Amino acid sequence: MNNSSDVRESIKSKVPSVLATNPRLVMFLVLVVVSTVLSRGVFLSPSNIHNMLRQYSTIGIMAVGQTVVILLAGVDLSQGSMMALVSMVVAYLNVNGFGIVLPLVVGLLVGALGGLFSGTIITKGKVPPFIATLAMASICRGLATLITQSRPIYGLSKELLVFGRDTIGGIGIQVIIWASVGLLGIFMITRTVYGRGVYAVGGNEKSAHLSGINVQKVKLLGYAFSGICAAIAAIVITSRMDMGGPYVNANDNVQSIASVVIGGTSFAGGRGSVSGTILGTVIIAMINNLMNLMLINPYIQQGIIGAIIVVTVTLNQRKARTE
Amino acid sequence: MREGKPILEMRQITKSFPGVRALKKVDLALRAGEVHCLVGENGAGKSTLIKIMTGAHSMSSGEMLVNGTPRELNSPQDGRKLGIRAIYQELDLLPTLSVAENIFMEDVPKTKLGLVDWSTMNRRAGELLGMFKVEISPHSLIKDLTVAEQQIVAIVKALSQDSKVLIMDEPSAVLTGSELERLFGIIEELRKQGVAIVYITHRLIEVFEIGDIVTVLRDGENIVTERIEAVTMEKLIQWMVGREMDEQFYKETVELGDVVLEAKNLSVEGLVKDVTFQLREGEILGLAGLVGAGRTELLKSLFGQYQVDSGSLTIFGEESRLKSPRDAIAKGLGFVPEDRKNEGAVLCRSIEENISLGVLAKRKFKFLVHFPTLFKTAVELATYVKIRCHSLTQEVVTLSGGNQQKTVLAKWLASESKILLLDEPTRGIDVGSKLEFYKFMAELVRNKKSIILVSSELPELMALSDRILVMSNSRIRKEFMADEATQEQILEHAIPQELRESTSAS
Amino acid sequence: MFQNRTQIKNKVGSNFSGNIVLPLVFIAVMLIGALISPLFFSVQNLRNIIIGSATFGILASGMTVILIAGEIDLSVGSQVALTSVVMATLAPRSLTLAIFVSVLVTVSIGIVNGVLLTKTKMPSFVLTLSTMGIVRSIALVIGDGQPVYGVPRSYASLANASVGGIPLVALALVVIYLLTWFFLKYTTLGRSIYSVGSNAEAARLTGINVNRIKVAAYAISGFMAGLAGLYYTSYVTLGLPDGAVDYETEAITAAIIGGASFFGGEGQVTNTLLGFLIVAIVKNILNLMGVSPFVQPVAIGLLIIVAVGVRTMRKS
Repeated sequence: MNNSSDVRESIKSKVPSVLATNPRLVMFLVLVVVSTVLSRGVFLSPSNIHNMLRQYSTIGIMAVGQTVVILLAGVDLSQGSMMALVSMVVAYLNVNGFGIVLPLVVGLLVGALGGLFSGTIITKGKVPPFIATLAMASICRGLATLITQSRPIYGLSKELLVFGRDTIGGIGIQVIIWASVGLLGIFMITRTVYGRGVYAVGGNEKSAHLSGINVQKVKLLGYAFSGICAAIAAIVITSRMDMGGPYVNANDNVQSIASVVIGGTSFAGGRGSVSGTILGTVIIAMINNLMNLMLINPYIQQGIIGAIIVVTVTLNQRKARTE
Repeated sequence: MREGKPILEMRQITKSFPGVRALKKVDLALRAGEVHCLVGENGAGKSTLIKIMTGAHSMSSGEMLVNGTPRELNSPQDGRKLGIRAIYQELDLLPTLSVAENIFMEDVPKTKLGLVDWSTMNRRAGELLGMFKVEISPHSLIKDLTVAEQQIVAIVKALSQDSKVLIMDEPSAVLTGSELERLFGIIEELRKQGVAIVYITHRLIEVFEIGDIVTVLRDGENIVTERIEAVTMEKLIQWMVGREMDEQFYKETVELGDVVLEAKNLSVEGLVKDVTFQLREGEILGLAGLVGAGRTELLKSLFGQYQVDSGSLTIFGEESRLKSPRDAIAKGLGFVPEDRKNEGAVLCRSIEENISLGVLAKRKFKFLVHFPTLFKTAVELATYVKIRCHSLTQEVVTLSGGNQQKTVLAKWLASESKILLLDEPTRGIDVGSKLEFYKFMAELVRNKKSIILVSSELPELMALSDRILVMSNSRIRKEFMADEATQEQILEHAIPQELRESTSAS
Repeated sequence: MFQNRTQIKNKVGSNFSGNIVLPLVFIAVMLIGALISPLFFSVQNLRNIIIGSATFGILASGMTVILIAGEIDLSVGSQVALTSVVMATLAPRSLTLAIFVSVLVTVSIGIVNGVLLTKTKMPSFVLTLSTMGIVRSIALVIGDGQPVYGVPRSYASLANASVGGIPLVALALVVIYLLTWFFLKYTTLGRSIYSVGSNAEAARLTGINVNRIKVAAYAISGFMAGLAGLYYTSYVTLGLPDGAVDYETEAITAAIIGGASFFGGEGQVTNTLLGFLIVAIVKNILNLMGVSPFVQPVAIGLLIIVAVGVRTMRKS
C-alpha cells in the first residue's frame, strides 16, 4: 500500500513508537542497563543469565499455559498446587519401581485431567473461573500431601534428573523445555485454528458462538493446556530439586499470573500474546535477580511481585482508557 | 382541557453522540394533568429524549425549563429533586433485594435511632401495593417476580415519591390485559392529581385510550405534536413511517430460482409459533413487524441458536435439525445480528481475524491456519465490501458502525454462505453507507444468494424485498408481494390481533 | 438480568428452600457425626470443633460482607498471619497497644484494597491475590521468616478459656455474627452494601457512592481478619509469618455453602454461620473416622464445587 519512501519514513518513526506502545520492551531495556551498572557487569555474564533463566523456567512454563486461560477471559489459580501434586505423583511412581516413562506420562495426564475438570466446572457448572480453580487448588494441595502424609519423596532415579540438571550445548535442558513450551504456545496461538478460536472466544463469546466456534471445547482445551504446563513445570522442578515436593509455594501461581500481566495480556480476554508472557517472565526473573544482586531481603521480593501486578494492570488499564 | 403553563418545557434540544445526531432541535412541553404520548420507531430518539429529561444524559444544545425557570440537570438525582422521575424499560431495580426495599430504595424509613425500620417499610409497601390491587408480597425478592410484576414494582416505587413529571417507557411491552387496565386506572388518578405524564408506547391504540396529546419523533426530529382529538390512526402511522422520498434505495429484479429454505409449522417454545414459509434462490424476503413480534427470534431459530420444538426446516432440499449455529453455518447459512457489538463482531480483534472466522467456519483447515489463504480472502472481501480502514490488522472497535457491519458481512461471504439472515443491517449507519449496502444486497442476490431481511424501516423493507411476511405475537400474520403492499396495510397486520379486536369492538 | 422467565416460576421455591435446606444439611451432618462416633457429641469434641475452627468462622463473616458487595478478598489469610506477627512482637510491651495496632493495620489493608480496587478497576481476585503476596511478605520481613515468640501466657490461654463450660470463643463468635447480622440488616451502610452488590448501576442512580461502599466493605473484611488474627495468635500461641495459608479458601467455602453468591447482593451472615459449622463438622467427622488430615483440603475443594453446582442446577 505504501510506496518506498513512505516505508522508510514509517520505519524511522516506528522505532520510538514501538517502544511507546510496548512498555515491556522499555522495562526490559531499563532493567538490563540498571542491572548491568549496579552489578558492575556481573549481570551480563553468561553464567548469571543462564542461572536466572534456569531458575525461572518453571514459572515460565506455567505462565505459557496461564496466558491461554487468561486470553479466554479466565484464570487458573490451581497451577501451583497442580505442580505440587504432579511432582509427588511422578516421584512416587518413580521410587516405587515404575521407571521413568510411566511416571512422566501419568504426571502429564494428571495435569491434563485436572485442567479438564476445572474447565468442565467452569463451562458446564457456570462457576466463575477463579472460584473453580481455587477449589481445584485446594483439592490438588490435599492430594499432594496425602500421598506421603506431607513428606517429600527422595531417592529418584538418576535418569529423572536429566530435565532439571543436564545441559545440551551448554544450555540447561530446563531452559530448552521452557523455550520449547513457549514456542509451542506461540505456534498454537498464532498459527492454529485453535488459536484463532481462543482469541475469538476470549474477545466475544457470543459472537464466537454465532460464528460457529465450539466455545466449550475451546475453553476446556485451554484449561487442559494450563494443567499440562503445570505438569511439565512439575517434572522440571522435581528433577531440579531431586525430590517430590508436596509443598505448594503460593507465590509460584502469583508469579505465573504476573508474567502474563506484565506480558500485556488483558484480564478482559481476547488481547495479548504468549511472546509477551515469555518476556514478562524474563522481566520478573531480572527483577528478582537485581534484588538478589542488591542483597534485598528475599521476603520483600515476594511482596514486590504483588506490587508489580497492581502497577502493571493499572498502567495497562489507563492506556486502554486513553486509546 | 387546560392550556396552562407547562411544568416542563424543552426547547431546541439537540443531542449528538460520536458520529450520530440522536436529537435535532426537539421542542416538547408538558403540562400538569396531561398524558403526553411519545411515539416513534426504534432509534427515533425517544429514549435519548427522556434520558435528557431526567438528567441521565446531558444535552448538546438547547434548554430545559422547569416551571418557567431554566434548569441544568447533571444527574438523575437532580431530576428527582425537581420531581421528574422515569420508569425505564430496563428497570433499575435491585434483583436480589425485597420488593419493599426496592420501593423505598431512595427514602428508607428509619427508626429514631437511625436504623432501618423494616416493619414500617413492609407495611407501607404493602399499602402501596394494595392500592394497585396486586398480589405481590413486600417480602418477595425482585428476581423471583415475573417481568410484569417487576414493572409494577417499578411503577409503585415511582409513585411512592411525589412526582411532578412521570415518564413511562413502554410499560405495556410487558404488562398484560388486566395489569394494563390497572395501570390506566392509576394514570387516570395521577392525571387528576395534576401530574404530567409522558407515556411511550409502540401500541398505537393506547395513544387513543389514555393520551391527551401526542408527539411523533422520527430520526431524532419532532415531526408533529397534536392533540389527540385531531389525530387518526392513519395519520399517526403516516407520521411515524413516512419518510421523505428523497431517500435512495436500490433494487434489481432477479429471476428467482428453486426453493432453498422451507419452514413448516416451525415452533420454538415462547418465541416462535407455527411459522411456515419458503425462501427461493435470489430472493430477498422481508420480515416486518413491531418490536417484540418475534422476528429476531425467528432468525435465531433458523440459525440454530434456539432449538426448534416442533415443525420442520428444510435447507437445500434436506430436512435439517440444527443443534447450534455451527450446524447452520455448515448448511450454508450466515447471520448478521442486530446487536453488532455484543453478537456480531469480535471488537477487540483485527478485521482480518473477524473475516477469517468465516473461512474457519467452513472447516477448511483441520489444525493449522494457512495465512496466505486467510490474508488473500480477507483482502479480497474487505475490498469487495469496501471496508474503509488503514490496514486489515486494525481492531474492529476502531471502525465506524457501517464498516463494522461490512466486516461482519464479509465474514459470511468468506464462509460462502448462500442464505444470509440480516437483522436490522442498516440501523445506526449513515446514509451513504446505507446506499452502498443496498447495492451490495442486490449484487448478492444476483450471485444467486438468498436473503431474509428484518428491518423496522418500512420504506426500506418495501423497497428492497421481493416478498414481505408480517409478524406479530411470534406468528406470521400475512404475506404480501412487496410491490402490492402499502405501509398502512403492513402496519395493520403488525398490530397484535387482540388489540385490533379491542378497537373494532369499542 | 430480568429476562429469565424460568427462574421466576418457583417464586416460593428459592426463598423457602434456601431457608430450609441449609438447616437440614446441618442436622444431617450432625446426625452423621453421631452415627460415626459416640465421641462426636462429647463436650470435649464439640469444644474442639469450635476452638479449632473459630479463626475460619470469624473470617467467614467478613467474607460474607465482601461477597454481598460483589467482590472477593483473597488476602485475609495473609492478614491473619501478619496480625499474629504484630501481636507477638508488640504484646510483650503492651497488650492493649498490640491489639490496637493489629486491628488498625488490617483495617488499613482493607481500605487500601478497596481504594486500589475502585481506582484501578481491576478484578478483585487479581488485586487481592497481589495484596495477599504483599501482606505475606511484610509478615515474613517482620518475623524474618521465623516464628515470633513472646505472646504472653495469659493471652495464649484465652483461646481455651471457658465461661460456664462454654468456650469463650464460641460466645465471641455469637457476638460477632449477631453484630454483623444487625449491621447488614439494620444500618444504612449494611443495606447499601447489598444494593451495590445487587446492581451497582441502579445503586449509583439512587445516589449511593458505590466506590465508598466498596472501600467500607473491604475495611470490614480487614477488621474481621484482624479479629481472626487476634484469636489465631492466642490459639497458636506464636506469631507465625508463614501461618494461616489458604485460610481464605475455607472462609469462602463457608460463605458459599451459606448461600452467598459471587455475583453479589445475596447472602445472609446467619446462613454463613451454618455454612461455617457444616464445614467444621465435616472436618471433624473426617478426623473422628481416622481419615488423614490431608484429605481436608480435598473435602473443602469438593464442598465449594458441590455447593455452587447445586445452586446452579436449582436455578436452571
